[in-house]
Amino acid sequence: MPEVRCPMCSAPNPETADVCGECGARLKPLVAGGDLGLPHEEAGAPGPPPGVEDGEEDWLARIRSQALTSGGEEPTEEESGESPAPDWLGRLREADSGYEEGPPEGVLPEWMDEFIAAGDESEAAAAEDEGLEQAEQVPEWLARIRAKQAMQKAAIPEEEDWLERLRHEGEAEIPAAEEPPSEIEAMPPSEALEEPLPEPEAEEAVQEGLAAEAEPETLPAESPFFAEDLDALTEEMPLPEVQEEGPEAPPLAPEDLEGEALPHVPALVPEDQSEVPLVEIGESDLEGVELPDWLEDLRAEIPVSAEEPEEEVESPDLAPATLPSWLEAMRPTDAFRPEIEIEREEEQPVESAGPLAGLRGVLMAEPVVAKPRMATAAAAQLEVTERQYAQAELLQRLVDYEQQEMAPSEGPAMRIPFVRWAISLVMLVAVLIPFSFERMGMRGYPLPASISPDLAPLIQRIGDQPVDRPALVVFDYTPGYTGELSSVAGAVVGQLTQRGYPIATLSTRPTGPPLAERMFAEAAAAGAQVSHLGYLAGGPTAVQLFSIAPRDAVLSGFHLPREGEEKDPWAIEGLRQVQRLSDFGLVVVITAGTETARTWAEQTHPWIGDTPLIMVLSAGAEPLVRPYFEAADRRVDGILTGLPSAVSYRQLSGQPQLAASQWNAFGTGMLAAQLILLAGGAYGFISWLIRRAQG
Amino acid sequence: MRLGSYLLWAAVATAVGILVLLGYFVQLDAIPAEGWLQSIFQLRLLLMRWAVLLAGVALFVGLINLLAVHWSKVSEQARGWGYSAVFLLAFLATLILGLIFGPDSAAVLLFFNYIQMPVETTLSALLAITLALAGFRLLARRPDLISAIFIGTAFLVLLGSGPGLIPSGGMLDSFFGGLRNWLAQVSAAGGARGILLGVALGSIMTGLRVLLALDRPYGDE
Amino acid sequence: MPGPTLDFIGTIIAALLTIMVLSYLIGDNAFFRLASYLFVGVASGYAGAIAWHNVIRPVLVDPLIRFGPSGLLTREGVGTLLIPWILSLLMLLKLSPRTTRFGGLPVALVVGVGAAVVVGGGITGTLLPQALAAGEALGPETMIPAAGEPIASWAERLISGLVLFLATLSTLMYFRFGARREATGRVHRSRFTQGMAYVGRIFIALTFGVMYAGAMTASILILAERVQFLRHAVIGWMGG
Repeated sequence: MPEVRCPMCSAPNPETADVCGECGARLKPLVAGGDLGLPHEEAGAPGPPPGVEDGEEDWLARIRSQALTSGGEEPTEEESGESPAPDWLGRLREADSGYEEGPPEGVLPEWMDEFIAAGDESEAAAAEDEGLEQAEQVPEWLARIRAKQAMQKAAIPEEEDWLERLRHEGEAEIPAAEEPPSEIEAMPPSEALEEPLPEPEAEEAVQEGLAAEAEPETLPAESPFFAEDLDALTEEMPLPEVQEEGPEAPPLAPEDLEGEALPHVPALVPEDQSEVPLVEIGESDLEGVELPDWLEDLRAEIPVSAEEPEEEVESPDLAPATLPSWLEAMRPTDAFRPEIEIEREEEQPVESAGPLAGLRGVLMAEPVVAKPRMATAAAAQLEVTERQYAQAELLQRLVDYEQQEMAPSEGPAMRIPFVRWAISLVMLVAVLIPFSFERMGMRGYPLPASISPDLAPLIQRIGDQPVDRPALVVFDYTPGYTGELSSVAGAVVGQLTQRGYPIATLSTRPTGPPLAERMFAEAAAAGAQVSHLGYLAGGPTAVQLFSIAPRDAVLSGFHLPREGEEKDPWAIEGLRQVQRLSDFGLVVVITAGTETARTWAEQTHPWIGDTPLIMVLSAGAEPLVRPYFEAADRRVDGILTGLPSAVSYRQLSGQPQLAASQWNAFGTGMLAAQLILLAGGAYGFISWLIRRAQG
Repeated sequence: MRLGSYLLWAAVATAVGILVLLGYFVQLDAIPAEGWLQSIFQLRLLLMRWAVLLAGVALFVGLINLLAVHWSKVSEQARGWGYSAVFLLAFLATLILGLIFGPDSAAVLLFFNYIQMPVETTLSALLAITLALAGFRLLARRPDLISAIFIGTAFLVLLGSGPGLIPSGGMLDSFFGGLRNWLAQVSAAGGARGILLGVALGSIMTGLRVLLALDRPYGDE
Repeated sequence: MPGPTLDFIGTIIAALLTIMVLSYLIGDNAFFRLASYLFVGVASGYAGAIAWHNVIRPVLVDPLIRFGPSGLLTREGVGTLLIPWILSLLMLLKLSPRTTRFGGLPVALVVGVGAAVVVGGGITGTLLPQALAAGEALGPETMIPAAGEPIASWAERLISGLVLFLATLSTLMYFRFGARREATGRVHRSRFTQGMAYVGRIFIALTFGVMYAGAMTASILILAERVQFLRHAVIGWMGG
């Protein structure tokens, strides 16, 4: 069987179908003046849509009959075929006094003639089948109005719209309702308005009739044609004012538009009006309107259920755009409304100026154009959700917390350094005990038996120098190392003074001259020639300058003899012929730092010539100075380091030894240090084993 | 002005440095007693004398700055200003007495002998306990091969450096004494030589960067 | 030499200061800080005094007193007096932030001379001789036994030379941080360099161990001397 594609949803349909089985759209276009596809008994005419029984074709008659039944009258064929005097149209005309717009000019359909006749005679004309069929046809403009109202009502979940139900429900359709007569399009608006409005009683009957008939016959789910027509009706003509039950509302006079009669558009309503009631045209609105029979039948077919949930408009295929919450919150709430809420007809003011004067439900020109809008502060108000409020509060709390003064935190828990105390006690006791050796009857440590092979050449070198050339002794160590170096260097100094060398002392440190003075105090007191050249500033530069021109580097001395007028440090006998470093017979540098030793080793060459450079070092500085001594091209000619070497030196040079207490204290201190290192190594090794065992 | 002074200082440093550096590669005996070479040599000496003098003035500048820091601390009564007051008292007393009577005067030497020397010597004495404590904890905190070699070497050198665990005069003393000498004079000396070469290379590179104005510690202003 | 009374008082003060410093073993305390600040004050003041008397006064003040202001303008005076005065005054301008830029000339002079001294001393005093000495460790004197020399002695000398050479080379390689970049982008040293660097690390640990033992030895001697001083001071004080 050949198939026809629906123009709306592209669903295949039988060729003979008039409407699409899927979406309800018309498959065959309507022809003006031609058959509208309404169910009738004419031969050759297309059959009624599926679900519509032949007996139900006369739906308009049924609506009328039901209306009469609800009014206490038995519906008769004649009466059912007769439509009551529709004075709703007349009411429309009365209410909208200036209303001129109506169905388009042109040939009026026959059913409209009936209405007109009924309105004039205030009697319902006998309805014949053809008249019924024609009467069943809803005016296009009215259908559009109703449809638009239904759409608007669909957004409001409180009330149901019977017309909306008509559009969205069921499978059964009311063909008559779908297909407004083409004559309506040509119908002049004025003629349409001449139709009397239906009486409220008849309207009630229509509503009940529509509700009763709603079950078997329902409109297709989507009736684009119907909706389309309704929309077209709505666009062309404003909604007629639907009056409630009761006395008819007098037409609005122009004086009513003055003063507080502000435009019905809520966006233009002042702020004091917090709520603007939405305009809904529900069943209650229709109570005061006398609907035609065909409209009553429509309503009867739709089950009325006040509590029926509002059916949602099927959303289009496209997903609506969703704004993020923060952007949504920025939408002004009062100053602008996305939807214009239309008030009910009776509440809508009447336009008094312009070409739309006399009409209701139109945008008021004067208030929009002429009267300035007051800027509302509501534009600045934001919509804040609960979540956003909670977040803002949290942020504020964080900021306040930062600004709070923190209570002074308690310091770390006091840890008692047991290990440090124990080691300190061990070391102090170790160096203190030897002073009690005599009292305890203990012998001290014997003097070192092994002598370093470097000592003998050193002693020889010093001993071989001619005594007429002075010896320069450099005191480049801090007072902190006095305890060690005074003992170690004392051996060399002792030999120098023993041999009678003229001695000049020098230092590149500010504390050197007083240390030199202490070291040679006894010798000087004993008559030795000692001249303290003092302090030489500049580090390596001073050593280089002194090496080249000692007299230019040292202009004044230290602790020079006050007697006499000669305060020249170079004035002593042995120093008068000294012009450069090589004029010294011996240079002894006493230092605890490797940097100073390296400076003297680097800077004195080649100005030192054959003069030996002897280093008296602290024990810790020896490794970094020894390479200068053990090179073929030596920069250091001798090294003396450590107390054991000094003791051996004294032994070999025949000098008096150190105090035994000092040697014993040194010995016990070394013993304590060795034991501590041994214990620490064992402790570390055991800890490592335990950790390894634990994995 | 800024660009000019920067270039001027860089030129001074470079010129002076090159002149002084050349003296290291010229034999003193080869310098005649007269002539332009001697003049250059004398100029080199003059520059070094100026440098020595300016080093002393720089020491004074540093001391004045130190005085200003503690003075402001006392005047503002900042935290620990009491200690700064003690510093100021000691500093001014020693300096004034030293400027007036000389650093070799008895009064000033009292300060040196009875305050500076005992405190500085005792600070060095604390080093013995600190080093012992560090040696005790090292293997427990860093149980690796390098730490073990470090502590082991130190222990062996201590054993051979004097009286202690090993009594003097015995075979053990001789053995550990020889071992100590070998460790200090051979293996440690080799490592020390490498360290000295590295330090020398670093010092030379740093000095050359200054001479070539790549580093400008005298400021860019 | 100070009198007995002064010496006695000085000894008591020195002993007290020694105990105050030793109290650091218990923990950081006010006595230790007091002694430290006192020490720094005296040391700074003494340094200033000796710098003035030994360096500045003999160069700037004494000649000016001796020769007068006219001495500034003589040929010798320009180089030995006038220019040093100008340079010294420019150096003093370093004290103020507003005038510090005028002190650039003397600082540049000091820096230039100092850099040249370090470079010259490093090359002639350390680099060349130590490089030669490192090579001499495996020289003919080491490799070839002397006539009549016992094998053991020669072996010991040879082993010592090898160890010395290996220690020097591996320590230098430990400080060499040059590396290659592979095609994968990974940067690493060659295996030989890594191995030698590890050996160098061992020799460095060995060297530092010897230095540590030496420092320990020195400090033990100093501690012994301090305790001995305290003992004498207490005995002398108690003995009157």
